[in-house]
Amino acid sequence: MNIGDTAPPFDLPATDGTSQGPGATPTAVIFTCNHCPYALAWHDRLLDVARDYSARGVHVLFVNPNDAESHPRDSFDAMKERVEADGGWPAPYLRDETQEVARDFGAKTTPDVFVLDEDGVLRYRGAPDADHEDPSLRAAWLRDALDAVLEGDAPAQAQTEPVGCSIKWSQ
Amino acid sequence: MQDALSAEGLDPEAVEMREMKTLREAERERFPGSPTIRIAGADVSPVENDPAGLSCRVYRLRDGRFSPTPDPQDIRDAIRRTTE
Repeated sequence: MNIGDTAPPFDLPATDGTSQGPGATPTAVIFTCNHCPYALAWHDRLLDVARDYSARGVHVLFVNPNDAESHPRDSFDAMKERVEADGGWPAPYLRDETQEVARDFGAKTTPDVFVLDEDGVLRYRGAPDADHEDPSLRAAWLRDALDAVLEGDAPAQAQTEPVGCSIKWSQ
Repeated sequence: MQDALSAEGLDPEAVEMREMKTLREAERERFPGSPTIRIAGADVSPVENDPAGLSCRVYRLRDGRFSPTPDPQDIRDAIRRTTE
């Protein structure tokens, strides 16, 4: 999927028993997982984004597409246990069991961030910020993209290179 | 790794890189994930009960942050333990 393309709709099961996908509001689709050190390093920053921007009308969706057969720590049960152990997340954690959504989006890594505007058009794709090792960056690239989309503008930086572990595709 | 070897006066090229291609190979080598760094056969940041597999390995830096690589001080300490 390229910047300016309309994202394919999806509806995936969440750990809280609901089923969710992008709606008619700006949406951040964040491919992530339970075991990748890059995803874990960025995780708290991304939860903060979910807290801050949910209040501004942004729908944040965390999507785990990893093959659970080869990586059992990414199973749906393990996802539920993780969210429960954390006392809940500020955004739904969705299971992409068939990996179809990840393929449709062209996701490569965990994390890999996609920002859609209210029409479902891709406005930003890439990393949350410039350095997984520096929490002070606060997922600035993602925040900048969401701020622009909320203002009806195109993000100044529409694309960065996603950084993380490769998505674990089923064989 | 190479910086740590150099700092200890050792040959920075004395590193053998091995790729684990199959789960069976990972299990045979008790490989808990990538990257795993062993010095004289000992893991620089050992963990108990981590299953063998082809996943990415999660490390904790000494300040508590998650990282895809070991804390550099853990590598230096492991080298010193081996050379002392």
